[in-house]
Amino acid sequence: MPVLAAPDGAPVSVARALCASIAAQPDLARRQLEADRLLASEGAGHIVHDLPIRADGRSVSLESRPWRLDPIPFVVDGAEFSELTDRVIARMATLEAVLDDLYGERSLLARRIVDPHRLWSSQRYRVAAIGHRLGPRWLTSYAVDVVRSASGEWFVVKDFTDAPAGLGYTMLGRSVIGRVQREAIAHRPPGSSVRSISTFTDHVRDALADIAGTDSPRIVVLSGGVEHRSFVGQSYVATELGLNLADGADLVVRKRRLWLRSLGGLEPVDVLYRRLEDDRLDPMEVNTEGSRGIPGVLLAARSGGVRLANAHGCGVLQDPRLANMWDEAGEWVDARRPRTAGEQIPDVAPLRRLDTEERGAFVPDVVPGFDGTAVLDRPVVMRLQVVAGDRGVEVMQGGSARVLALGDDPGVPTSATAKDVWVVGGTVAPPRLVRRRPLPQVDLLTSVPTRAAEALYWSGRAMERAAFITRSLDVVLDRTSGVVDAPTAEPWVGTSIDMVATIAGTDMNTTTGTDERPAVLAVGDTLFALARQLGSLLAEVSSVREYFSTTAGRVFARLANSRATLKDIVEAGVERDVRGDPAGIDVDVLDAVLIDLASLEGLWSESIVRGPAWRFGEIGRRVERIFGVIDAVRGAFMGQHGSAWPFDHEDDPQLADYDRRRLVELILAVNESLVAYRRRHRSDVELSLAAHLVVADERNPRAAAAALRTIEHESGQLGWDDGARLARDGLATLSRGDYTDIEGIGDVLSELWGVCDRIARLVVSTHLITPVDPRPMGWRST
Amino acid sequence: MNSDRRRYRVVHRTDYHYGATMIDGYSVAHLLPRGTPSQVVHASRVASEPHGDEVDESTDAFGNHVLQLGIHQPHERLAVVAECEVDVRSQELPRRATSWERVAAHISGLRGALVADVLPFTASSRFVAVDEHRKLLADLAYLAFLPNRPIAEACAALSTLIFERFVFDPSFTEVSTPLDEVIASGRGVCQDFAHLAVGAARSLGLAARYVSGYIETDPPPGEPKVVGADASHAWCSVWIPDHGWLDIDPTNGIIAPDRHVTVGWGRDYADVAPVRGVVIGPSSTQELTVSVDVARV
Repeated sequence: MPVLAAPDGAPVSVARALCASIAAQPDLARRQLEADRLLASEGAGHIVHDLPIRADGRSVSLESRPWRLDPIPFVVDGAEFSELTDRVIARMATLEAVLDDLYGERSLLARRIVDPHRLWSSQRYRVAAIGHRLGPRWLTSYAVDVVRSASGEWFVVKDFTDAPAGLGYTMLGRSVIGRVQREAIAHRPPGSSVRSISTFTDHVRDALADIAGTDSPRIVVLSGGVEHRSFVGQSYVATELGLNLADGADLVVRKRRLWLRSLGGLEPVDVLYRRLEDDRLDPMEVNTEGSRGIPGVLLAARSGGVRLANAHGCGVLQDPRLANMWDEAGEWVDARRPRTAGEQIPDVAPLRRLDTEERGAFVPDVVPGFDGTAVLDRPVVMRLQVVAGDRGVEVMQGGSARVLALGDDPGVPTSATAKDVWVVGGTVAPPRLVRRRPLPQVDLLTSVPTRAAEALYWSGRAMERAAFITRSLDVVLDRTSGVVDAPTAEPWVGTSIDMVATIAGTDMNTTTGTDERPAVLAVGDTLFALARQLGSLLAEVSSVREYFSTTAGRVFARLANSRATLKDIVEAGVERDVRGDPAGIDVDVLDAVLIDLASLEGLWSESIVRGPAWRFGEIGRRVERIFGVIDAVRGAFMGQHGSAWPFDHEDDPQLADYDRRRLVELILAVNESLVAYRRRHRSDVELSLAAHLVVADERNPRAAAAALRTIEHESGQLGWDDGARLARDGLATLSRGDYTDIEGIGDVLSELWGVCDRIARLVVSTHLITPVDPRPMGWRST
Repeated sequence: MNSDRRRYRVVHRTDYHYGATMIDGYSVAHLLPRGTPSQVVHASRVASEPHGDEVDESTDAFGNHVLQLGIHQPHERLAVVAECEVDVRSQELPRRATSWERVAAHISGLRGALVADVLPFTASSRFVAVDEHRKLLADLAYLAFLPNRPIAEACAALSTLIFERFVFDPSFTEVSTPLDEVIASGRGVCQDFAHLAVGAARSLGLAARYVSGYIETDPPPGEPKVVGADASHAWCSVWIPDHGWLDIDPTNGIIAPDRHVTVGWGRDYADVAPVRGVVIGPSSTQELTVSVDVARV
């Protein structure tokens, strides 16, 4: 192992040398930006916070968890890491034995090694788990936070035994820093390369299959829902493992078995890789918090109808009020535990936990980190990921670390900066072959949780509506140069604002007449409505992130930024008491939204596999497009409440005609059909021709008719005959329609609206019945 | 069986009206009585309307019979009817007059197999938050637990104390009323008084469990009707070394209850709630009615 020398002649480890060379990079600021951008594109930064309302009115409240990745990794020498790894493996085995005793024989209690009074006072000690172990082990996955003292000794800060978080974030961190520090990884001298973490997911998958007790088990990742603080990590893990990500409401217990509600009906689940804490798992159990869980899942587990990883009850070791008991308990069980031949538990000095009281006086080691402007030495806490299977225990050869701010308790890091952990050099154990148990070829195309289909459906609708709102406002502001409120404005301008309001769905706020509701207010409301639609879109796509590519992730991140800008504009307007003063609107933000939505439409069509979930999303998009066309035409020509053409000024037919033409142009532009019109008709724009083009002309891909044709096709693909039939009915209505005057067009639109509304209601009620979270039955009161 | 054996038939009906159609429902019932040193169960059954699509019976960590009921069809109401026939006789009183302090000291040094049976009932639990209200509870307890008082006598005094100091007021509380509120208001229902007695005993280092059950509806001729007879009842049981568990009923201010039918016990109400569960469906206003009939046969 090459040993370098510091100026004073002392040897410098490979790890410190590598770290120092990265810390000396002149372009760390640029790398930081790159890391920020890559992280944001995975939704790990800010995309999953502050999203207001789902499209169907259910609220989503998300914690704000922005975090950054330091472009300088935390580097550990291989030899040091291997020794630490052995001690971590031993600790996991010890904790396993402690759990086995706490819920089984309970000698630790009988002998008062563990204070029974304190244990029983913890709600994390799960009564329902008392009895015997279900499955081969309590802990399939384990994570531990460790910290290195200034003298180089490692201590445990926290054990994670319940649903250890951080695996997804660790893989995410490596994929980001792997790109940001590409050349530092590539140009390593022989024998000191950065160890790969890529095989760890194979070990996880293997270990999950090991607990099933059946051949080719079906495994599902149970998330805590999009509101859960580690949802992004959970969804990343599911994608990396190639497993379905399900929410509590996607799963159901029947006949003492666990099933996934999928579009194809109920599918059995053999192993539940739960990312939800064990005191939230089954609302049927005593002392269960919240109601995100699966009623009866513990009955199923007790009956062998599903295996849980980790087993129910493991969370007790994480109760902070009990945490100082486990080291002693561990010593006791270790002393009693027979060492079986061939056991892979290394015989090493046990890792010791740093007690809360000791932390104040603890002097941690420091490593260089980039704080955005300068390189500073800071302590870090490293989290290691471990998985146990039938053939042994595997520690990820890397991890992630949290940077500690000055004076931080290592157990409670306050800084939101993470570091990728690199292990370099040392003797690498020959890679243990991953057996790759055969997992059933679950067709992730058809095996789709109903919730995913639903989320894509509402994503499609929100995406299309957002595009309509943006285009309409953009076009109107463009053609009026932002002057929508001047007393000299031409009559069509006020109507154009009505059209925008109709499309944005804010027309109900309106009182008649611009006197009472200045157009600028309507613009402000529209911006607010747009921010809301983008919020819905982002909330929905975040919950089905696994369907979208990384590129799409970048678009989401940009849309999230635009949404924040829109909200700023609206709020600034409120302060000045003139919401969204059009003269002050940065039209660039609308342009950015338009372009990003267009990119998303492209990615939607080109980068998502055409499974049933996508088809429901397509139906959602087309349904919303039809509604958008109807709103545009009605908003411009029928007033907000379907009243007749507003400009029949008989005394000045020319003005009326002029206004009429401007509005027809607007409709075409809003529907992106102006070019199509000009290529087809030589004449000045005329209402009847334009209406036919945007409503009934199937050759125009933006027409309602084309949308109906798509709905017919996708319904057919899904085997949804009613949908296809309704779409055909709609098409027949359109071809029969009379487009020569406003009354005829109004009739066609009414019928079209009826058909589209039936399709929208039916698709939701027959296919996308939202699984609802359970609510408690009333408590008796005497 | 001694000559004081009495046979009771209990019918316990719980009706939920959900006010909307629920598409799925899961309930857990602690309604099947368990045997005790002074109780023999002859027959017991639970029926529901609608019928359970799935019915699972099991035993929990405290040895109670648990019924899990799944109603996987649209339903607007759920009726759960439990019937049982049991023989009960008066519980035995401890023969030795051990002081309560010695009992507490014994528990704090207890080792071995009994730890698993006794120590769960010394701890703080959700509805008996001893750690949180220790001072309040101990202040109450010391009024009955005088120095060197024999444990059984102290328990009887605690029962009488709660009976005399607190007003039974069915309009007052929900089952989850925190103990400090019960103490401050001086009002409650039988669950509250049971929790209070349990908490008072635990605050002194004793082991006390919450017992769920019934009390005879129709009094013997000449005796007054007791409180809590129209619904399920609850009381407290205190552990005494070399004896076992001694039941006290603070709602009626008595020790050695002899007209009581035991269903099960736990750390508090949550462990043995007669019926609880979740439904899946629209948000609505739920109505709950309970009737209990305990007849001597």
